[in-house]
Amino acid sequence: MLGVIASAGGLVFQPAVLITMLLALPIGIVIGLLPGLSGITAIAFLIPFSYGMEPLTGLAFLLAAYAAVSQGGSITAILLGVPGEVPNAATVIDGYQLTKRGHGGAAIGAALMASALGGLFGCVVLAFLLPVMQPVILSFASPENFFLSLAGVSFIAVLGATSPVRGLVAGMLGIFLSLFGYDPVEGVPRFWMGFEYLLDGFRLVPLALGLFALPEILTLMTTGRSIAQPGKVEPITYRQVAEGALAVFKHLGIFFRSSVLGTLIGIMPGVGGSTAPFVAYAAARQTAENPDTFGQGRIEGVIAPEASSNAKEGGALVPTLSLGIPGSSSMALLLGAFLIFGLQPGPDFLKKHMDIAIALAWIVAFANVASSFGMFLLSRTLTYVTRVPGRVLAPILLAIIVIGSYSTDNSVADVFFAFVFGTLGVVMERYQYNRAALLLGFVLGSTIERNYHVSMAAYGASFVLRPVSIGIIAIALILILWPNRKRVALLWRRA
Amino acid sequence: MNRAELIFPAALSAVVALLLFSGYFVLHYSFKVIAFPLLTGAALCALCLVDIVMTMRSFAAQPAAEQAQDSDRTFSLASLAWALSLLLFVYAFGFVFGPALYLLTYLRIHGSSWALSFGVAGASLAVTWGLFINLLRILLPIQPLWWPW
Repeated sequence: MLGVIASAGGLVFQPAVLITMLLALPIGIVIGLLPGLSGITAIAFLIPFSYGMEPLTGLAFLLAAYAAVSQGGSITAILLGVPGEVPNAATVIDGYQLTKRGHGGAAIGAALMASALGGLFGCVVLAFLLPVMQPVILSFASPENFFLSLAGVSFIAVLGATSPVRGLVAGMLGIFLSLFGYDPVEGVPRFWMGFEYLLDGFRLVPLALGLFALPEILTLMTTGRSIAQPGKVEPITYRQVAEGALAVFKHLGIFFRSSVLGTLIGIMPGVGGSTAPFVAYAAARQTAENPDTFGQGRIEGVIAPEASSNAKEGGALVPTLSLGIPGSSSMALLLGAFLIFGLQPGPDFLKKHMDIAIALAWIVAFANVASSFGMFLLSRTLTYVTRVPGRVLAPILLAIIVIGSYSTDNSVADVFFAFVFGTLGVVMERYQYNRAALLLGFVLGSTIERNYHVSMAAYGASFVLRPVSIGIIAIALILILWPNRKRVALLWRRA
Repeated sequence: MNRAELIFPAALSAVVALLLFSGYFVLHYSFKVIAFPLLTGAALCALCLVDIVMTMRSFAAQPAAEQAQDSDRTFSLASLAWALSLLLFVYAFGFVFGPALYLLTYLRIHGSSWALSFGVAGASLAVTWGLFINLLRILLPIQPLWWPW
């Protein structure tokens, strides 16, 4: 095994592959910095440029850019409260609060270090799990995926909010919003109200941008103040960023737990990589000493989602390479790229091309570390953005959001709905409904429904009694109820 | 706490109930099509009801002064109007010139210098025209949205 890992490393560090990766990294970072453009956009945009490349060189080109996108997205999430892509929305919760308190540099340092190490962790797991994961992955059928997705929404809803009930309302609303458009069983359009746009349901990017970015922009416009409060602005130095990076080592427990969660969630085909940062955030909050201070600017609230977000990429490659089943939508597109290069992922792929599979793990690891280093060098400059007065920054952000919403799908309706969801975000923010839970419910809604229908068709209502399903339900209930055990015991005694 | 916060869960459950009702009784979706939305919608309405009850209970438990307290967020109607006016600019001048003109107008009216306003508007053109249209090949409409062709 170690021989394969070493020879795969040799493949990756050939000059052609290395130069291609270094070219792709800045493209990925720029795409990550632009709200609305995500990792899937990076792969889609770069696929045409990879035609004619050697398979490994082409895949290195795509994967390096893809891995770098997340870094750019976390920077905008921390500095501006605007998630570059959906998984970065979990980083907004505490990262943006840290920036407001003048600790943006530390938050960036923590995010970059957690991302780089989380990415490395996912790749190491990928390298070691590839040969043995097949039976485990296959033990997860539709009922298990149904409960796993539902548990993901419940975690963030209950643990990430001031009021658990309001968190659950938000999570359920997210699932309900995902049900608009064509029904997956009979193909009947639901709740479309004669509006053609709704035939395909609401779109993710306008929802995420509207919910998270618009309330912040309206605040900036109203107050006219800079993001970092006057008097709390510390001059951002590399030292401050480095201190933030070292904070990851002070919270190694959170880092490892989040990385493991990210990798595991990434491995589950169809669960969706966007779940990982939210679940990791909720787990970090649950196990913290003062959970109520989460959301007010805790460095652990940055470390957990960032570590899991990048660790999941290694995890998502496991089912993509070993089964030919993509672990996320971006991996589905990557699967298409494999076919373009004449490679067919699946059990046979591992037998024939184990060196390429391990080389891909090397590439993701290298891209994570290299893009983190690049962002580290840029961080000092980027942090000056938080000192720009709100009356100048807000309209610029608004213009970026309008263009970002449009460019995802070339649809004017997306821009309109970004504003509609922005209004919803303002109301939810004002009355402390958990916006992250809504977003996660929306992301996982179609997965939950699809797995529900398949489970009902295959097992009937008894699908809840499958042993792995019962295990997932039990673990989820324990994790949700444990922080509220005193309240539950009180209710039990009263009853 | 504020009594206005009862409106959100109440309105939410009303809209969801209306959608489900119209789906089943007016649009005649089959049970298979409506089953999962029905489950989700029922759970959502039930949770909204619990939320309303809990909020009302908290009113009873809290002093009036605290009830009047709102979130520390402040949104002015003027800022909302300015945000929405970007849509008008985009409609009137397209996705390339609309945002640039909006930035120029907004920044000048809010006291920024001509140099800064023109600089930001120029940067906006560079991003939309240079980065999005020419480099990323994203087809942002250059012409106004009301333009017939």
